[in-house]
Amino acid sequence: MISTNYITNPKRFRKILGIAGALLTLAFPFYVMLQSANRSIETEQSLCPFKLLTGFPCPGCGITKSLIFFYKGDVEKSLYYHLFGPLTFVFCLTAIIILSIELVTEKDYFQKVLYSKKIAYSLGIILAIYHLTRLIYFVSSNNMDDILRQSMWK
Amino acid sequence: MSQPIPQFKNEPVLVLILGLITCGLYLIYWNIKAAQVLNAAAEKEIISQPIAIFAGCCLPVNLYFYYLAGKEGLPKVYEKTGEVGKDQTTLLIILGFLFPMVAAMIVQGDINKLYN
Repeated sequence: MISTNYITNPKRFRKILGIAGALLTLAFPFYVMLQSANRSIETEQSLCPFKLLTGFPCPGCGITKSLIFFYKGDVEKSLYYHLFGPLTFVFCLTAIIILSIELVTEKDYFQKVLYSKKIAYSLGIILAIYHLTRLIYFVSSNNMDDILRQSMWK
Repeated sequence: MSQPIPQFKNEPVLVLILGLITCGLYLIYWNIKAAQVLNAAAEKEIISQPIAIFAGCCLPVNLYFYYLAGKEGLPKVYEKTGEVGKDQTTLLIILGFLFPMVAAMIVQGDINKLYN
């Protein structure tokens, strides 16, 4: 009989969701990279709903392209597309490994880091400053026509 | 973990406008505040602050945020407001994927009922 313990145990189920989310975050850029092997990913339309709607980047915009360039070994371009791209890769990989170990051993190793308010607020503030700076740069280096071209309206 | 529910009453349309104007930055702040209210309503930490912060920039985390809000947070809000319990998880996940600001508007609308 197949065990359904992961459904009845919310903590276990959350860990499975965490692994699935981290895998999805890493696998999607890899899939896009394979699909766009013969063309430049830099000119591709962003899949972000916010960017499609407004033409402006959201705080997470560029992470997919950043991960693709990270997979290709181009760290400079990866950081250009999003400062948090390489960090996302390291975080997701760590999460997959540690959460899998936690599921097998039924012990908690990752909770202190994952639930650390200090780390979260620090990264949140860095992200907010980075996004604000990126927005200012984006507005100063693009005219209205460029911004509209990056949306779905043109 | 019994604590008073923090004051966070906003017009849902304001969440949409501020989210658009700030290009998503306001949603990071909104996620933090909404998580605090939902945690207080549930009397336990269902959405941690790190999840609330990263939901603003990472799509899978954002979907997880709305999963937790719909599955565990809002039912507790409905309990407190005396509403008939409804499961909005699927709707919130779909909207969280396509239009996070609209999903936030729905949650804000339900949160507002706590202060009536």
